[in-house]
Amino acid sequence: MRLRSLEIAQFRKFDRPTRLDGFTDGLNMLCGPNEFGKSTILAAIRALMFERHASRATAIKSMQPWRGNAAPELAMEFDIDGAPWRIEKRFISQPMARLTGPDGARFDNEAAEEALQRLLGFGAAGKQGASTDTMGVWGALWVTQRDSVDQPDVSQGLARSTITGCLDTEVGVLTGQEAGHAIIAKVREQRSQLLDGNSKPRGRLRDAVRELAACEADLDSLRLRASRLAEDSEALRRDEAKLALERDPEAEARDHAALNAARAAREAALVHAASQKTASLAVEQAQAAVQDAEAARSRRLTLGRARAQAEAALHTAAGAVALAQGELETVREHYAAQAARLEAAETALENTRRARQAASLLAEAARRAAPLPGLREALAEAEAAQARLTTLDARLAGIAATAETLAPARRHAQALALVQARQQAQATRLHFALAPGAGAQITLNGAPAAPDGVHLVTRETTIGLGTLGALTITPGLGEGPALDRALEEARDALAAALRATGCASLAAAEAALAEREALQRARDDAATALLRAAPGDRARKLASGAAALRAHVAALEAQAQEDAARLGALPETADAEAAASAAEAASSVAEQDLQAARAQRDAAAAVFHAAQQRAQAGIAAQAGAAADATRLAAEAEREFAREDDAALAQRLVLAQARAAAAQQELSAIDAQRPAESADMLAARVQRYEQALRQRQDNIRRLQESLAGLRARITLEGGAGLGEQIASEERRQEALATERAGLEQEAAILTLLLETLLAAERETKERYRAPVIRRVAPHLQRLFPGAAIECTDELRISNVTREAGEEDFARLSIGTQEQIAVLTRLAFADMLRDQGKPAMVILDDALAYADAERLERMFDIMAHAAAKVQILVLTCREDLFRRLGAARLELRAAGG
Amino acid sequence: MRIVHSSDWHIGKAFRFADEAAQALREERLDAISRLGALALREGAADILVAGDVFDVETPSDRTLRQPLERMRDFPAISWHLIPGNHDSHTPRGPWARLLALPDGLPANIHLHLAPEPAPLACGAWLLPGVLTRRHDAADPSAVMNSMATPQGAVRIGLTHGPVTEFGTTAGGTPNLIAITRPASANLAYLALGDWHGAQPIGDRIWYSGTPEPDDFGSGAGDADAAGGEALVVALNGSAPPRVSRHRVGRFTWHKRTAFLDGDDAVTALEAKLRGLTGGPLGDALLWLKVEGALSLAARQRFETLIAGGLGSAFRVLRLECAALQAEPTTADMEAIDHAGFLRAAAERLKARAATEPLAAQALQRLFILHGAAR
Repeated sequence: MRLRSLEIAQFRKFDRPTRLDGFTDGLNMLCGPNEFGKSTILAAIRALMFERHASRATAIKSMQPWRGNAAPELAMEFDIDGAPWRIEKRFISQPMARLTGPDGARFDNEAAEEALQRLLGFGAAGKQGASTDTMGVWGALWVTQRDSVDQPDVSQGLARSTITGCLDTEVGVLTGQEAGHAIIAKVREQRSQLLDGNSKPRGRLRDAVRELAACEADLDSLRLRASRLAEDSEALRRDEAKLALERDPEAEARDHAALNAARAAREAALVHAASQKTASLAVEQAQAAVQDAEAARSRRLTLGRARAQAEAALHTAAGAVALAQGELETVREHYAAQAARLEAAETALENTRRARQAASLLAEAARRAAPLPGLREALAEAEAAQARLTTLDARLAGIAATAETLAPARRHAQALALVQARQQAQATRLHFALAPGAGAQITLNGAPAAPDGVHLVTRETTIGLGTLGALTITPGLGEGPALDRALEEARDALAAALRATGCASLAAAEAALAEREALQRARDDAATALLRAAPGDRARKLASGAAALRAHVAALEAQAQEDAARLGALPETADAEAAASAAEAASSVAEQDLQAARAQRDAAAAVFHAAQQRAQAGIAAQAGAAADATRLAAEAEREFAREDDAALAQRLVLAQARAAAAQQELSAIDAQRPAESADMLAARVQRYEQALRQRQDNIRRLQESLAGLRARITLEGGAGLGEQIASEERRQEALATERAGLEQEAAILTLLLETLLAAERETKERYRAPVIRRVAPHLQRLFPGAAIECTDELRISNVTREAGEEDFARLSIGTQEQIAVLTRLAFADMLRDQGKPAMVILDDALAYADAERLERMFDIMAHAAAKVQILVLTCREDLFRRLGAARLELRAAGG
Repeated sequence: MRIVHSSDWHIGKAFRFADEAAQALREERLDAISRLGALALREGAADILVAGDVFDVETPSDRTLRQPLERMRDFPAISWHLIPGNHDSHTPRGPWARLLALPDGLPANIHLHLAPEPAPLACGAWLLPGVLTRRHDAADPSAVMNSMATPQGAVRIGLTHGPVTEFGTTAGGTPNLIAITRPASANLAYLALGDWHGAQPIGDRIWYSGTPEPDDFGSGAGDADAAGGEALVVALNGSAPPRVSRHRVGRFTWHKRTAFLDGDDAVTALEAKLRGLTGGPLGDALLWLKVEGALSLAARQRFETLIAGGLGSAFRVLRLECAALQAEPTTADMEAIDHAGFLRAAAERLKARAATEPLAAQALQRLFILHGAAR
């Protein structure tokens, strides 16, 4: 589709007929500032196309010009596949519509509306005017200023079927999508009756599961009750039998008779036991009397034996004491002798110790005095060397010349000689060769001149010629005066240097130096001798030199004198050492003697103590034996005083006779003992009584139990448990069958739904391809290297650039708008490829694009315009100049 | 001298498989009692002998216990003679003890024979009830009849419950086996037996009456029509063997069938055949149908419509087993769903799995049906 011209009259701001034409097949542009009417142009095109001429919608009313109440009139010429069409409409007042075809065919009013709808593929506008639904795909291609950022919406209605139709043709799938979606909805709905969103049972399935569980629980409880009922019935039969047994009257009579017999036997046994006990007691008493008498007799015998033993013991003890005391005496003497020996040994040891100490002191003093003679000789040598040293130092101090002071004198003397030599070399030589005797007349500078010889003239020299006058020679100026000065200075310097040496001449100075050096050597010798004689001793803190040595010798001599005063004359060292060693040995021998003596004394002491103890023990034993004998004698006296031997014998005989009689009576009673003991019979009586009580208890308990059982059985037996179980089992089976059926149904529906959705998804994948294929190249121009993803609704959802994947909604507004424009161009392209009319109108689009993007968008639009006509409405004339579009102008029409 | 011989009423049976029809089946067992009474009146029999298994369970509910009494009470001119069977043996608190303990007592025309003691019948003969006092007694319950004393010249009629000795097997293996020589050894004019559910003569003086109202498809494979639904009228004729006639008293018939299906035509033919199965109203018939073979989606839809839908509603109970019925989707089936597009893709996927996965086959069938419904 290509627009060719547009005529507008009485439409909003265009109250006068206005015409827009000059459209080219590709890019077209209408520029104008805000309020210029660009959006009104788009509104006019949309109204002309999509609004019904007879419509009363508010949208139509708003078309009327701002001034007046006139009827809007619109007309447009366009080509479809190169053939020209014209549509005209008048709204509100005397509304009309007319469509003129390329072959001259004319459609009026409703027919025109319907023909246009068929031609361009949109729907009839509703009562509220044209809407996105009725405009179909055009709503996506002709974009108002407001919507330019949004992607075209082709997800529903007419737009969807138009695009889907294109895709079907392109992808080669002709199919009833709608039927498929209806089936999916149906399956989903049926499945949702059984399973919820998480595939958990719901509705009847959930109820069946719950009812089945409840039914099984009921069944369990019924079965439990039935088994209890069976148990109760069994228990009833058992207990009734037991009760009959317990109530048997014959058995009860038998039990009572046995009890009475047992009680009588028990009484008889008790009487017998009492008499038997009395007789036993009598026997015991009689036997006690016998035992008492026998005990007295035996005690008396024992006492006699003890007295004899005590006397014997006393005798033995006395002998032992006498023996021990003799022995003690002997031992005590021996001990005294040993003690005396020990004392002597101790004294001897003390003496040897003192002698050893004295010898030791003497040896020490001798050792100290030993070096004294040598030291005295060394001291004499040292003092001689010291005296020499002192003399030489004095002489050395008198000589000023040294090697240091002499060196400048030598240097200055050399310099003087050099000056003199130069002066002589330059001086005029005056050779005298006088006649003998002439000398008296001839003078040189007033002094007689030597008859021959050479005189050097260095300054004005007057030669007196006697009477003849005088001859004055004045040397030329030259170096003469300078040399004179140098000579003067050299002499002064030499003199000054010689003063430091204390000598008048250099020769004297040299001689003084030689003497000095000889003296120095002698001094060194003396110092060496001194050091050799008194080298000092660091270990003894003795300094070198004569003075220190002298003090040392004096100290040693003082010590030696003191030692001599204390110890007498000091012996030779060796003698003193020998004496000390001898004293040591003697002391050691004395020590050994002492130890031996001590050991012997200790041994004697031990022997003495032992003997002493033996003697004391003997004395104690003797005393004890004496006490025993006395005590036993007293005891015997008391015994006989109480009862003499004859009385005791009589008492014993009497008691034995009584015991024999009592024993006889007890034997007679024992012979009458009953067969069973009283204890055993008492236990039996108790047992029989217990058994009778238990029988009564059993009867009562059985009666109670039976009453309970009968009540329960009556209650449960009438409940028809077996029938209830059968009925519940039937219900359980029915529910299980129902549940299995419903689960099967759910499984079938789930599988079907999954399969359908998977198939649908695959189909959609194939649908997206053409859209992506068309958008992608444009996008590559805009963002080199970018890729896109497209939703099932054919919206761009993701853009992948170098930075990574980006959600469309998170892209910048500018980028979103650019992609939206690209998508529109792609849809238009696709429609055109499928032979459907398409063109794109962009109203103030790309407002957010930067200069670079704008350039690229221009490229893309220019490329797209080779196939699809594009109309750009913009207020940014300067920016859009580079688009290279044909410029359209609004012109007054008709007139 | 005529008596009516019946047995195995199984009052209160649950009929687990029958679902909503179960109540009707239970009700019909009570109606059968009324039909027995009417038969006795019609045939001039004063006594009806019921040979055990009156109740299906040993602990029926009170209502179930009383319901047969009320039916019998409706026929005061008829004496009803009942004995316990293996389903309702006489235990201290079992149904018989509960009947005896009813506060309002039993109707006068009902006679319970719970001990092996001879009793006179209304018709003048003597009844020798072979009842076991213990539930698990392996003895022959009819053995006591040998020693039962009756007046001189009395007509002795035995009444007991249990299987009979099978020829060629030794007695003692199965409990309560009844000797078929009993009429001779106990001098019986007739021995009325209960336990088997189909009417069956064992000798000229021994019969099983069978149940008056069938209650089972019966065991065993293959096509079968369940036995039962009859009562016996026994005309006693001195010392000669009695004349026994069989009378239909049951309402429902039970059938088992297997069908092989290989296409639309087979489905149509099967429907026609089954509609004529009983020659009577299908509402009085119960059918257990096993189907084998393979059907296209379209034929299977037809099967669901005609057999599962139509016959399922016609029969009192239609128990359908289709596990062995394979799905065999044809090209036409697939084209019917769609010739292309995602529906077809989904159908192809399901078809590929259908051979090995029954669920996929069912899903495909469902898709076929839904698609048909959508158009």
